[in-house]
Amino acid sequence: MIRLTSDPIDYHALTEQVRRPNCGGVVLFLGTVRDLTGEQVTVALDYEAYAGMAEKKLAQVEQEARERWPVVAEIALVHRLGHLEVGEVSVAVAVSCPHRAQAFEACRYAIDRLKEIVPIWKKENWSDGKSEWVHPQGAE
Amino acid sequence: MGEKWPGVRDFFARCAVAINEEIAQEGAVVPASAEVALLPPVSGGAVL
Repeated sequence: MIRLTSDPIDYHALTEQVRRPNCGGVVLFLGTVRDLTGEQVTVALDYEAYAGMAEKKLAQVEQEARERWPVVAEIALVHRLGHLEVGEVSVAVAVSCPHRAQAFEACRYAIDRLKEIVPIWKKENWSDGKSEWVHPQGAE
Repeated sequence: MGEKWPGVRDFFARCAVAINEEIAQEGAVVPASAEVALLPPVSGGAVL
């Protein structure tokens, strides 16, 4: 299951959604808005997506994770868009498997891959009133 | 495009190009009525 949303992510409901009787392991990853980047104080982030492609790429991440770990029972990938304050949840990945090892591995893969291929951008709003779109270092 | 608008050349050089919501490689042909998007590096840090 994949979703883009402008509403707060109900990660408890999301976790319940992936739980299955045959799954003894459920892993939940939450990405939250951090208050410090280096020495700069963040007060909020704005997330924007190229929505149609982002949904396709989220579905691709789910598909790839299922191919690599066929024991995955359920996987949920949800990314929030819009204006988020410090501490709010911007992304959630929940994975259920019969055993924990594959659940951890698939969840780690899914969040890393999401950040790699899903077209979503964020703007930092600093405490001094300035703001800046995040330009990753090293990307060419 | 970078030659036509030198002011944005560096920015374009950092962008990926998507044709109909799929990443296109160098030299790709744009079909008629295709949707073309310039994608700056995503916040996660990697090139699309």
